[in-house]
Parts: sequence; C-alpha cells; structure tokens
Amino acid sequence: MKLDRLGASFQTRLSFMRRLIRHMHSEHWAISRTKFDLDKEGYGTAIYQVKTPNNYYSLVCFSHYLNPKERTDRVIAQNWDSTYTLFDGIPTERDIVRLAEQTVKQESGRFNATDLVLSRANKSLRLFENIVDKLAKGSQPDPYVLNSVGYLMRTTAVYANGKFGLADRSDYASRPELLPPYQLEMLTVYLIREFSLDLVDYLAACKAPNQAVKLDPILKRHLGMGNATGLGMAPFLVDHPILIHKWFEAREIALSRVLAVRKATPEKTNRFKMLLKRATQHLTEWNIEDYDQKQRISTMHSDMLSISQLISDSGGLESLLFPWNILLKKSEKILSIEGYELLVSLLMEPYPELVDELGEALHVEEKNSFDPGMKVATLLSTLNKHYDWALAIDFQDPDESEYFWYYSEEKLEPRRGRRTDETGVKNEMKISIARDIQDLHSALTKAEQHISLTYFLMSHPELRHITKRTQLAIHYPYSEIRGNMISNKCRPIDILRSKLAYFGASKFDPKSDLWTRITLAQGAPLRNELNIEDADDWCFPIVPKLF
Amino acid sequence: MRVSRNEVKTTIAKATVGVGLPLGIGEELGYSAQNILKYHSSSLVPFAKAFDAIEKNISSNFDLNQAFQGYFSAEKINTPLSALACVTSVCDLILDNHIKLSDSSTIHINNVDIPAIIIFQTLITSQNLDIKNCVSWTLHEKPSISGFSAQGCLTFTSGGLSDLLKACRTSLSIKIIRLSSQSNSIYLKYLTQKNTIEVDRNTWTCICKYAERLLIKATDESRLTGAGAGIIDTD
Repeated sequence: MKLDRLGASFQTRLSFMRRLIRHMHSEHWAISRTKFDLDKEGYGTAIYQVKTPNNYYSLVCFSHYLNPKERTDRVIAQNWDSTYTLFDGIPTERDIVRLAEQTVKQESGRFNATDLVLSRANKSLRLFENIVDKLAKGSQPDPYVLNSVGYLMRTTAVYANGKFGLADRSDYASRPELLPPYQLEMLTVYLIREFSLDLVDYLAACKAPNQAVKLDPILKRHLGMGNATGLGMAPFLVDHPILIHKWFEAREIALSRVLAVRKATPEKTNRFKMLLKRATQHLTEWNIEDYDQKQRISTMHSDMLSISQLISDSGGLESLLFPWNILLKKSEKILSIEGYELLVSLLMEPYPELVDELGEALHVEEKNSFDPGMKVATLLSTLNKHYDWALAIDFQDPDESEYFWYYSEEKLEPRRGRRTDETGVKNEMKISIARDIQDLHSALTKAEQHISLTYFLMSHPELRHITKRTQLAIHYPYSEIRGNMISNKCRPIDILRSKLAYFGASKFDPKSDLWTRITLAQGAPLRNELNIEDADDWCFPIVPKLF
Repeated sequence: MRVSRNEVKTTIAKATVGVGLPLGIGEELGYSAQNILKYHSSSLVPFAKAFDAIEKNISSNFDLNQAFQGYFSAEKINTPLSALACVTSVCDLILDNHIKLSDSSTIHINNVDIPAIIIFQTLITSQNLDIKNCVSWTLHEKPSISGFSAQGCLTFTSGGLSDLLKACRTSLSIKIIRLSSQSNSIYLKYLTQKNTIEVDRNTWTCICKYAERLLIKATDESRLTGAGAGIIDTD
C-alpha cells in the first residue's frame, strides 16, 4: 500500500466497469434510446432507458450551447456542453422538467431520492468536430487520429451517494445489480458514452443529410469516455479505510488464487499470451505528453517483451508446475513497478472462475464499531506493529508538512494548499494520518498503560478519530495508504490512479502530480453488442483495423 | 426540505468541528444523526440546540475526575453539561463497564443540556451489544421519560419521542440491562427505514452555518491550482 505502488495500478477483472459490463451481459440488460429531441446544433434532451431484470434506470441527457470563453474542463467550471442525471425508473414529463432546471446547475442544484447520479461532460475539442466533419463528408475518421484521444466527451465530475440531495447508496445498495461499489456511476459513464457516439452520427447527418455516414461500430467501440480527475478524489481513499482494505485484499486473494494454479491448460496459457501481445501493442498506442509517464510506458514495453522472452526460455508454461508463480517470481527481479502491476493484471485475465466472484464483495456496510475497553498498552503495541512507516517520518522537517488539505467553499470539494501561502490552515482536513499517528503515539506513551481507551479518550478527545482508526488496522491490514499526504514528496496522482484503476480506467494521461485524464470503457461493447459472447474481452484495447 | 442521509452525516460531523469539538466526536454524532433520522425522528432540532449551546458558551465540558467515577457533570459551576462534549465518553463508559465487569453499574449524567443527543448515541452503542442486552435510560423529568435502546431501536416505557425532543437541562441515568424476549419482539417491528428525510429548513440552515466554517474561500491562486488543474486544460 505504498504510494509508488498505488501509482502504478492497472485495471483488472475486479474493476468496477468490467463488473458492470459482465453483469449487463449476463443479465441481458436492454438499453434503448427513448428520446432524442435535439435541434440541428445538437442541443436539447435525450433519454437512454436501461431495463434490468428487476428495475429501470434512465439517463436524462441535456445538451447545451457552451460559450467558448466558458469552456474549461476543470471542476471550477460553471457551464458545460452537456449535463446528466441518472434517474431511478422512468421519468415523467414533470420529472424531466424538474431535472432540466436542476441538472444544468450541477453543484448548485437540489435533487430528489429518485435521482441517482449527477454528471456533466464536455466535448473533446481535439476530436469531436473532426469526426463529425469526416462523417458528414461520407468517410470514416482515421483510427489512429481517433486513438490519439480515445473519447468524444470527457466528464469532469460524477456525483452520487446523497450529494446535493441525490439518493443515498443505502437506498439502492441491496439491489443485486448495484451491490458492488460505483455501479451506478459506471452505468452513467457508459450511457454518456452512448450519447456521445449517437451525437456525432446525428450532427453529421444534420450537416450533410444526403452524404453523411454513421461512425463504424468498430471505431465506436474504440471510443471510451474521457474523465479528468483532480485532487477531490484523493481524500476518499484515506477516509474509507475498510472499503479500501476490501478492494486491495480482493486483489491479493485473486492473485494468490492464480499463483496457486498447479498446471495451466493450453487454453489458459494461450489466452495469457494473446493478452500479453495485446497489452504490448496497447502500450505502443498509449500516446501522451507527460515525459515521465512516457518513459515509464517505454520501460513497460520492454518489460512485456522480457516476459515473452521468459516464457520462451521456460520451454512452455504448460510444462511447468505452478507456472504463474514461477513467471511472477522471475519477472519480479527484472520488471519496473508499473510493468509488474501490468503483469499482475494480465495474470488474472484467464481465470474468471477464480477472480470474478471476488468482485461481488467489494462493498462494506458502514458500521461505527469501537472497542473502548482496549488497554492503552495494547493500542500502543498495535501502533508499533502496524504503523512503523508512520512513526519513521520526521515531522521536524518542514518538507513533511508542506501542504494542508481543506474543503473549498466554491465547490465543496477537497483541495490542497501550501501551509505557508494560504489561509485556512486552522480548518485543515484530518487526513494527515502519519502525523496524527505520531501524536497518538506520543500521548499513549505518556498515559498509564493499564487504563482503557475510555479513560484515555476522556483526557484526549482530540485523538478519538485516530484512535478508532488504529484499531481497524488490526483487522484490516490493507486499510492504510503508507504515505504522508501532507509531504511535498506525496504525489496525489498516485492515489488517484489506484482508485481510477479500480474503476477500470486506462490510458492514464497525467497533466501534473495533481491531476490526470483517463479513458473509461474504451473497447467495451456498445449497447447493442452487450449480448455478444466475448462481451468481457475488451481490456487493453488496441487500434482497430477497418476493412 | 429533503436532505439525504449522507448530507446529514457529513454536515453534522462538520458542524461539530465547526463549533470547536474534535472530529472523532463529530464523526460519531454524524453517524448517530443519520441513524435517528433513518429510523425514528425527522427532527434535527436537538443537534441545532446543542451546537448553539456550545457556541454561545451556555454549556460546558465535563469534569474529568468525576467522569472517571461514572458521574458526568459540567466542569463549570452553574452551567449545564454539554451533551455534545460528553456523549462519546458516556457511551464508551457504558460499553467499557459492560465488557469489563459484565455488571449493571449505572452512569449518571447531571444537568445535561440536550439529553436527546445522548439517547440517540445509545442507539449506536446498543448495536454493539449482545442481542440479549439493551441500554436502559431514564430522564429525571417530571413526569419521567424512560425507555431502552436495543439493536439500534428506540423504545419508550414512559413518555415519548416528542417529550424526549423537548427535554433540556435534565439529569439522566443509564445502565445496561438484560432484555426480555417479549421486549425483543416489540422493538424489532418498529425498525423500518424511512425513504425520505424531510428536515426543517431553519434547523438545517442553522446546522449548515456551523459546518460551513470549515470551508475555505477560493483565492486566485487556489482557483488555478487547488484542484490540481493547469491553466490550459481543454482538449
């Protein structure tokens, strides 16, 4: 759970978008466009209705004119090309009127318990018009141009779980299709992707009704949904230690199951080799500007070739006992961190029967549990055992507390500022776990060792949050990110990447240490392809060939 | 107005910190408020009153030495005890005594400003007890209000929820008791989750006012870099 390892994460079979697509496929969800009331410029309302075995969900889309001067994908924007609400059920005309009024306001709007997810997206200036123009002229866009961006629209926020009055997760978490985390958010992103693909076809047809063609489905499939994610997401992982434990424990269990496979069948090894080849090509097509990430991609490409070589040298994986364990052990010595993590992701792919069920248990029911009867000495011992990494940080060094985190008034979202440059330090968010651990350690050391935490906390109520958290570490070994969130060495993007990878993101495109662009659902089947046999075979997508 | 349970939880937690109490207490109060609204009352008035009492220095923290003996009273003479300040320690002590002694020692809370806050929190405590046990409590009002908290469910044996919500500056005693099987069937039927939470707008505004103290105004610098974005960020 170190930051550099988290910052090298990749999507796996456990990722939430992968699970959603599998579930849609297995339950034969039907998605239909029930309204597409747009003008010739593409502004208006559209609705995508999802029919599951037990429920209906509807994405209500509002497409707007956006003044070019107001175009920014940062979360501080006030206007967007399009705004969305995922509605629980089928909205009435009255619902649509209400949502039209509230959805466009985004964070300033108020929502009902029928409203599940709120989002917005902007068109990709690099790609959207280019594709519309091509289609209007009757030709298909160059797949490599299309790959250079990978999406037509990019979301800048996807809100749920009670924000701005939206439905609480506890209202719907018992529905089987929504049991794993973030399924509604992923569904929303998936449906916005469908809207963006329909929109280019529609606009091209408006532009040249007699000449326009539709975007080839093969190309459509290679377009995902973009997303820009900044700091707001980072404190979430710190604030939800049990949830995070579940996610990373599941990953470790999945990997250990694969490594315990005694003999690999040719079917499994061939699948792995095919995916290794695909991932290697995927790396060559992962084109971004960031110099450091480019270097890492190049190293990973060499890593993948080294794995191929290891497989050749082994005389065939099928002949080995515990082949995957041997491969990972040998690779460990020669791969970069990111190459290693990519290999871990690939190793899980041939084994849905060992991995996928773990994806159904990644949620937690929130509980407020605390053992106030624990003795001070016991907690101190827990601290020494589980938090040595935090106790080793030197907070006398100003670099280790250069930053502080706070809630911005403007967007009600977490932000980071320099302790010396910005006001508001007194309202610092309590996410500096390592520093709080040191404070707790100091107080526990000075306290009478035989008393219980009840009495300790009567004297030290300010340490209650960190005391409770520390007790969790006994039962949840993957609950802590072993890094200092307020250090100038902390790269929040590492935290973002680990969460985004669990969402199922690919093509990480870091713009600084603080924010990144990503692509979700690139390669995933389209709404009319959900019943195809290989609906889950879309990870590490590569540029399609047009025939 | 309608609010979500998550908004209740986070806003109460922030408001607690906003009036100067520790986050750990705020987190538990947030959880408690969410729970009470989920199953029992639609009123956040006790929380708003308790925040006001701290804010206006009407109520004070508890006397530590007495608390060690199981008696909670205000550290300042002639002021009521702040329920917000003592609630987590009271509930810790209930549980601690129960685990350690398996006994029924009574905890006394004197002249507490808003007793409902403590009763609400005992509902959370009761979820950590064996199903055969419950938290029994009595408010020494005239007439008295009493009941028990079992497995997160509030049951009154005298008085009712509206009496509890109105009660202020009163003494309270709490102990853990064995629950009869008959009582079990009584409380379980009441545990029905509410689908929509409607709260009084003025009360909500009052609580939000305290929570908003944690928000930091944007500056030109933070607008540019606060979320991490660069200056050119469209594509």
